[in-house]
Amino acid sequence: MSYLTLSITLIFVIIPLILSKTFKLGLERDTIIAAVRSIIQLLAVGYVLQFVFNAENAVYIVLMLLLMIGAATQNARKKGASIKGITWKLIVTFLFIEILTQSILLGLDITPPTAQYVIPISGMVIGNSMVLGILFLNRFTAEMETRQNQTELILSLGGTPKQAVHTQLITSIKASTIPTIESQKTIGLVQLPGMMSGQIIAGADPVQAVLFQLLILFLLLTTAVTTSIMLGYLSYPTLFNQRMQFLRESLIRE
Amino acid sequence: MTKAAIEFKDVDYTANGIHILKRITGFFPKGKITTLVGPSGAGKSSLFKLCNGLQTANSGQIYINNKLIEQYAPTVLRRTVGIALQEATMINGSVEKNLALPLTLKGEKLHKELAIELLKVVGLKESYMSRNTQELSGGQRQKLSIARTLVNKPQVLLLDEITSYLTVYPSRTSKN
Repeated sequence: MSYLTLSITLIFVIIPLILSKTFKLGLERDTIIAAVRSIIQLLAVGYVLQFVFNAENAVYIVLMLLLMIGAATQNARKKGASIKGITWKLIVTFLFIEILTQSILLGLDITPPTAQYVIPISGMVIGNSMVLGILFLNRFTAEMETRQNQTELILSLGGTPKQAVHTQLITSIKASTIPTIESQKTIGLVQLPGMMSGQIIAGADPVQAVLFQLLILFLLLTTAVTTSIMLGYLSYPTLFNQRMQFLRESLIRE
Repeated sequence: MTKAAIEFKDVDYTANGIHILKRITGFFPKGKITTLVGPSGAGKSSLFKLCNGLQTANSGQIYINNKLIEQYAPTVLRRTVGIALQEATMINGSVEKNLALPLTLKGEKLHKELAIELLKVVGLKESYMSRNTQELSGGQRQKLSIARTLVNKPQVLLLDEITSYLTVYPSRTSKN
């Protein structure tokens, strides 16, 4: 696709702008910002990837991954709830998931250790983990807020902090991972996944595209469950002090 | 040495910038029923939560059975000083599940005979056992809350505004 063809596709940006203006939706500004940002960000990423692919140097791959983790952490930290020390908890979670998934993929020779494979797959894994992290944190803090009395009750009867947050943790882990699991049940029936569609459009064999898409889907299952559980178990201890007292003020949103 | 179940020495407690308890000194004797009377917001609930270890005083000392509160492990303290909280919070499920909660937390099971006995003590019928706690009235929940606290066999029992929902307080039955 040439830049000229791409510029014609801006019609798909103009249509929502016209609709927004006509129906007074007030989405014009955000639509323009979204379009401009996606053009700049994706083109920049395209050139950076081209450079990294050509360089064939592991250092650049690691730098790219760190950049992804940094950006994901920053975003999840802003959108997620305010839990003490959430930044390093997110970094540890993203790093762990990245190391876990790449160790399996590369260790078992499922994908080759080249930038062309490592970077896009890591992007999907970290991106998915970020969304899951935000979903989990928001639900978990909401559960903790609404069940403050239950937390206090269990502590008052001699329960530990882990027992006091058990229901809240399980509810939040389930609530954040169910969309991933459910969407996989209907995949292919309603919509073709983005990566698979991209490969098919680029001329790849549809069956090969499906095999890769399945790999990604399975990866995302691990990512979803691991992210929620890790963040949950890293986060809940900061809601209590050493005397096993529930710190209500630690849940106050900024 | 005083025969105190709970003893306070210069206890100060501040929460959210509000000075709730100021230099509280005194004691609750062992084997007696002591009633704390005061207007809403006077700090009665806070004082109870300090004794049960749900909160910590900013300064001063609290002794439970002549032992400094900090010398107890938090879970041991909370089983020694039982508290039935004002809200009478229930976990989702049956009366039996709620009654068994203190033992479930210890990985133990509640024997049916004990459960029936405890319900009887607070004036609830055995037939309530399988009922969902959402079906209970405010007063019944408070009774169940007391029975649940008794499961831990606490040496000191704190009842926080526990009669607020009871239309007629069956003083003898509940206190015994």
